[in-house]
Amino acid sequence: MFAAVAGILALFQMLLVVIATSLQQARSFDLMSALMPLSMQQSLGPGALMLASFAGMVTFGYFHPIVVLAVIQVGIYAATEPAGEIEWGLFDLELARPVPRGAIVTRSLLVALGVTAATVCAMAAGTWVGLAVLAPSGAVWPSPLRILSLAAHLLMLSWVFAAAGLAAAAFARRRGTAFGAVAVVAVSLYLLNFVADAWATAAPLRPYSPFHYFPGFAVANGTAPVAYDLGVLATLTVALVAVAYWRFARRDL
Amino acid sequence: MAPIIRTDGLTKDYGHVLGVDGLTFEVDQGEVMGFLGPNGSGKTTTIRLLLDLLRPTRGSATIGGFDCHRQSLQARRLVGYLPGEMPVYPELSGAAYLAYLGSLGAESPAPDIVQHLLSRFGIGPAELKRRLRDLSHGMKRKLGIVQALMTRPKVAILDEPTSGLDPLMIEAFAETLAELKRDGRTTVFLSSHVLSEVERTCDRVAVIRDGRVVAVQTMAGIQEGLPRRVTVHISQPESRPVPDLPGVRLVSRDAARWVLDVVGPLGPLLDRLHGMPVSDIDVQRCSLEDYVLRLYTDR
Repeated sequence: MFAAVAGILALFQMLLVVIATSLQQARSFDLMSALMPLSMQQSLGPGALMLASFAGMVTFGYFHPIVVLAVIQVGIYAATEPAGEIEWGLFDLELARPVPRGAIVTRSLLVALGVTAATVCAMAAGTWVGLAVLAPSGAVWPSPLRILSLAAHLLMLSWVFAAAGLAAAAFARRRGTAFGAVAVVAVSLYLLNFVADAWATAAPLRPYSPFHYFPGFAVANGTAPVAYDLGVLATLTVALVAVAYWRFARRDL
Repeated sequence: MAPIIRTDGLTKDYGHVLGVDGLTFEVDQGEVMGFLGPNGSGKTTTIRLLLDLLRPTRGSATIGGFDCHRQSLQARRLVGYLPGEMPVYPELSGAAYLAYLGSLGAESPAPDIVQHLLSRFGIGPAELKRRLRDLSHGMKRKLGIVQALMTRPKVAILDEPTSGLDPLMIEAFAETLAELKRDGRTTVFLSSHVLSEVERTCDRVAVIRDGRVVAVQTMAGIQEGLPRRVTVHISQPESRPVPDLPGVRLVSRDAARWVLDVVGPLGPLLDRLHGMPVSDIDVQRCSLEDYVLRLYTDR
């Protein structure tokens, strides 16, 4: 399942290169920037016009809402494995042997971090294969540093929710409960960030959403505080992982 | 012999219900102990507390002198465990599952022991290659017994080991237990509802009801303490009273027979029947089932 999601997302990155190539060849980017309404430019921020370029269109695949939420769901699903093992009784055999409980958390953590990293790597590979094979000559490619920065933000954001999934699994007895709860929270926090960006009254809530620390357009433009954002996301991840270890060591299975 | 499993006031309070309440018992090294009780009496809770899958509210348990909670890893090094429901990774083959579980133990399973168990339970190479999802309940159960015993653990904790096994495999299981008993290295703590199997294989039983141990007794002790049902058939009407002897209780009488429960030797009763027109005497030993049912239902 993880491989299928990674494959689809990699193909999506290649598809964006195809679309960008088509727009470039039809000289439509200039037209797009001229026609983009002012209100849209304001709501999407100063980087909105960046979409109206070959490089901007290619990088959009790293902060498209569906892509971001898909990568996050992969991380949550992988991380909630312990709740599934409790549900199916598999720990009864594994933890009846001299296996420390922490090892189970570590195993699921590594799997969650690994599959999300592999998914993002597959996306990056899709981008570079697409550019190498499909990009028209003369098109300005996004810089590797920008792609790396976007991928790092996406990965770190997915790790936050993977860690949340792990923490939820340390409390839950069913995988569906843990996965469902964290998935709903993820979507809610995405919407909170979206609403806070568009509605001044909700703006003070913005820092409480992890999505605030992945400002896609700003990262693609190179104007985001990369170290700060990644630092906040990494701290959140570590805190949630610590909760998972703490709770799993104390719970009844 | 020194106890290898010991519980002392072991209590698990789930909040809405008391799982076990002040459980205290010991299992001696090398013995086979049956753990009996009606559904929901706390058998599985006790087993899960021993394995540190549940954390005690009060009291403690030790395996091999190691506290089951605070020194859980050391305690679990000594244990082979068969859960009541055999959980499986459905996509794995039987062979891969045994190898995986073997890799988690303190000791690697000895190939000759694994082979011996596989052969005893009729698990061939073809069954081992099949995915676990395709195996029957009984076959998974047999694999469960093999994984529990494949390292010749010091303590085997078996939750309803013969549930779902056919009579041949129940026999194979009894042979395995007898072999472990002869070997003397492995202590077996098994819960079961099949009382005939417990009667045949166990040295002692502990009976638990509503989370409390209500009896711990050797099989010989149970037999000694159980009354025998003695039916005295009389060929002519007899007006003499039933002999008033210690250990003899009248259950019923009519013109043709007396029905008595007798605890202890039959000699004194037979002496008192001398000279009476007795045509036949029928003696039936009460079974473990009678003993256990009485404990289950006595309030």
